[in-house]
Amino acid sequence: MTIRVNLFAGLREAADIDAINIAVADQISVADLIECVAVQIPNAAALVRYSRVASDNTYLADDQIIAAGSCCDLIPPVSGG
Amino acid sequence: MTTANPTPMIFVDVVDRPIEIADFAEKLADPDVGAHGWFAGVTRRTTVTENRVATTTTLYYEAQLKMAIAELTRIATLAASEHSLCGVVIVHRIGEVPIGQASVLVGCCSAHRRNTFAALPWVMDELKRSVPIWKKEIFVDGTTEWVHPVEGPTG
Repeated sequence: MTIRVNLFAGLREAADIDAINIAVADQISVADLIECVAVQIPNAAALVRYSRVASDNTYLADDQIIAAGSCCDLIPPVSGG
Repeated sequence: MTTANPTPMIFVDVVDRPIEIADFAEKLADPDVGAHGWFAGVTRRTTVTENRVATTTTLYYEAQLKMAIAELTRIATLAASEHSLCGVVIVHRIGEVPIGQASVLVGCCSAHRRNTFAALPWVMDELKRSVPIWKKEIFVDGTTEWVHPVEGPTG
C-alpha cells in the first residue's frame, strides 16, 4: 500500500514531479512520513523537513496518523503576501 | 467600547487577474461602521539582504487553491471575532504578478478605527504563516528562486 504525497513550488521543482508515493504497511505518523519523503528527495531533504503535511485542506500535527491508501499535501514554508 | 458584529461580512478569493481595491470597496459598505482600512501588498523590484542586492523582473505565485481558500476563510473569520470587525475582505492573486502590482489585498471595517488598524497587520502575519501560497522570483539575470522562508515569515 502507498500514500500519495502531493508536492508544491520548490519541492515539486526539486523532485521534478507533482507527487510521490510512499510505501507503508497500513499507517504512518506525519513525522515519519516526512522522513520518508526526505529520503526520496535527497536534493531537497532540508526543505522537506521544514514542510508541513495537510490532509483535506487542514494541517496535521506531527503525531497524527495517516492511513495507507490516502492522499496528502506536503506544504513547504509559504511565501504568499 | 467595541462590539463585534454578530454576523460579520467575510469575503475571500484567490484570483488570476489584477486586483483593484475599487472592485471590492462596496463589500465593506455598512452604515454602522466608522472605519474602513485597506492594505495592498505589491510586488517589489529590489530585495536587499545581508549578502546581495537582487533585482526582480517579475514574480509568479502558486497556490494549493482549495486549502488556500480554507485558510483565508479561517483567518478572516478569526480576525473578525478577535478584532471585533464588521467585515473582512482578503483577495490573493496567483500566476504572474508584474512588479508594482498588488499580489494581496486585505480590507477590514469596524465601528471604531483601532480595531481596523490592529486587524490589518494581524491578518497579514497570519496569511504569511499558514496560507499555502508560494512566490517564485524571476531575476534580471534570468535565474529563478522559489521563496521558502525557513526562519519564519519575511516582511
